[in-house]
Amino acid sequence: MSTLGRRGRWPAALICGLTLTGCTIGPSATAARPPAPAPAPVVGVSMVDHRFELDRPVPAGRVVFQITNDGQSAHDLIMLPLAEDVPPIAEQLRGSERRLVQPYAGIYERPPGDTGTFAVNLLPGQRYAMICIVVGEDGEPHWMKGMATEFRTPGPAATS
Amino acid sequence: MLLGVGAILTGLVLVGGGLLPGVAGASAPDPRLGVEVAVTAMERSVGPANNSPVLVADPADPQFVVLANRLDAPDFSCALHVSGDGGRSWAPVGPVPVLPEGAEKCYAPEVAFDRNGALHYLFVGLAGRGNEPMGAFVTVSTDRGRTFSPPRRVLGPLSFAVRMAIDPDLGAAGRMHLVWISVSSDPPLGGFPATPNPILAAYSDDGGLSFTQPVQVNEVQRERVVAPALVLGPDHSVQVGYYDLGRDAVDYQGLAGPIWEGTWSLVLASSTDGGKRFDTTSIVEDAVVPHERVLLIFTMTPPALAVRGEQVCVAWADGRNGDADVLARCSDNDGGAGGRRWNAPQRLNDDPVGNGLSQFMPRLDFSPGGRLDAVFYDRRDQPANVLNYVYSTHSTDGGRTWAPNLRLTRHASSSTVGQLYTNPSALGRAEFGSRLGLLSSDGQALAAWADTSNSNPNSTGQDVFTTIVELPEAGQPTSTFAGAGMIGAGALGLLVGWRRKHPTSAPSAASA
Repeated sequence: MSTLGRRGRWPAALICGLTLTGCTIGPSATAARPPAPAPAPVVGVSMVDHRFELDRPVPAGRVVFQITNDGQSAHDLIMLPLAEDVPPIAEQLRGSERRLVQPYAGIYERPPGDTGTFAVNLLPGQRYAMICIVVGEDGEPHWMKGMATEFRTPGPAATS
Repeated sequence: MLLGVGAILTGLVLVGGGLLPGVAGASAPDPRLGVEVAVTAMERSVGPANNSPVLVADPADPQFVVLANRLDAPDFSCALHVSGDGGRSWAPVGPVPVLPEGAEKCYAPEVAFDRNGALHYLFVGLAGRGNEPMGAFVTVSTDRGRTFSPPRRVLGPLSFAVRMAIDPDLGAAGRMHLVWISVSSDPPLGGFPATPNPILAAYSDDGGLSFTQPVQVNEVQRERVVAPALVLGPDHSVQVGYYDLGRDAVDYQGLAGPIWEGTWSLVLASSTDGGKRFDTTSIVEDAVVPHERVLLIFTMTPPALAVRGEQVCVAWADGRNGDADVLARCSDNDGGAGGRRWNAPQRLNDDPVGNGLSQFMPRLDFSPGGRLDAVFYDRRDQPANVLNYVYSTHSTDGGRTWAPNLRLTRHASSSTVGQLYTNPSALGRAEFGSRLGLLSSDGQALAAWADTSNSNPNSTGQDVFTTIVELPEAGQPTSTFAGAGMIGAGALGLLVGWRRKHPTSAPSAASA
């Protein structure tokens, strides 16, 4: 046993006297190493008056969203997972039927020119929505004006 | 909690409007700042509490950088991310896919590279209802985080505040140094048991297969020693900074009560023989004024240490001016026969002295060229003293003068978001972690912090963010804020500090 510091004492049995020069826990690291693992893909999101513009399709797995408010008014971004039987998000938001949804991620209100970022782990084959819930001076929430979109990540959905 | 869409909309509008009163804004970012990068994944319904990041670069490839952090919610855990581009982007990796036998949770990771670029990831295994440390383990990756070896146990039970660093120039592929607090018996809730619970050190020259017999780091007469920090010097020196709480049994034992009205000592123990013995002790500061209760003694923020050549610099949070300030002292010699000589404490935050706003949890690092960087949490931008930003400063003259502070974070993080304590010393307060991440290189610095700007206000959610800031190298001129104003501020600080140390009323029973 080569552990140390058991309850403040170090009995001899715990002290390794081994001098295994050249030993490491894992295999030798002197060989050429592979490149660093690929970073999480970044999806740029531009918030304009009044829509979300994504600069690439959203993959599954770890994804980083970099958001910029390119509009003239304040916006936010709330990401929601959508069950398969939920109507399209714009239709759902305008409908009278309420469904149960959990906010998943997002950024709070940003003034024009401001930025935000967040990272998430997205399931394959899953529907997600982005909505802006800021209420404009006219009393209308921005999702009513078009800031509600959805996407589906690629890949087979997990079966429950 | 599941809500209807309509309810979500209403709730979030209210939440969004109330989270950051008066501090949201889109002022043009400083041109020296890069973008903020989200490292860890958020999930609002769960509220993962990622905090306490540490950044380390591969000495053989400085663009390969790793970030290890702990999680306090939804349960204790630990994480690791790697970057192949110097911290501009990150990939999650899984260093502990299967916990070692007997361990129920992974916690408090440390990370270091050996001479060959092998990545060593140390973590503490927690077990039982009290989440007691049942051992410390090391796992190794030689393929940049794609795979890891089975964890190997390197420390036994009740090893707290475990630190790891590797001296690349000694041993088969580097000398692995461990420093930890060895606790003598099961600790009470939120505190350490009766002393002695010494700080110990040992090292391994064979990648963690075997270790030397532990040696005691702290002086024997210093009993309540906590929060060790470990850095290695280029001459194989081993520097361990720690706090000596002196008579402060309240914080040491995690008891209920007000802020300790006495002072602590900040001590530097040095080994000049590669860790065989720690035979030099230097008092960095003998009158550290606590600015708050220690939330949890096991995870108390250690002092910030940085070493370059013979010079050691130390930073800490100090309440001598009536609120928490970040102070730093640097030595100008190696602590030989005459002992280390420390410059006068420098106040690194440049907000008005005694304004009641807190700066705390500093981190220091030297660039290879000699620039000394500091980052710290800072609440100067909100009068309620609740919202954290991260600020930085730097010194190009070895810590004698410091540049005007620069805010690194664009959005505020609420210090009330996080895992809430139930122990008496910190009842109802949120854990925000034990450290910030800082990695300095020539011309820039990479910083990492716990960020709650995207989190629900009543949640535990904390994300680790990073950013890169461009900074002048040592020898280049930089404006500084040290001067007459600081002298005046220092005088005021001394007066307040004297008042703190000489209260007009008798100490309360709880603090006696």
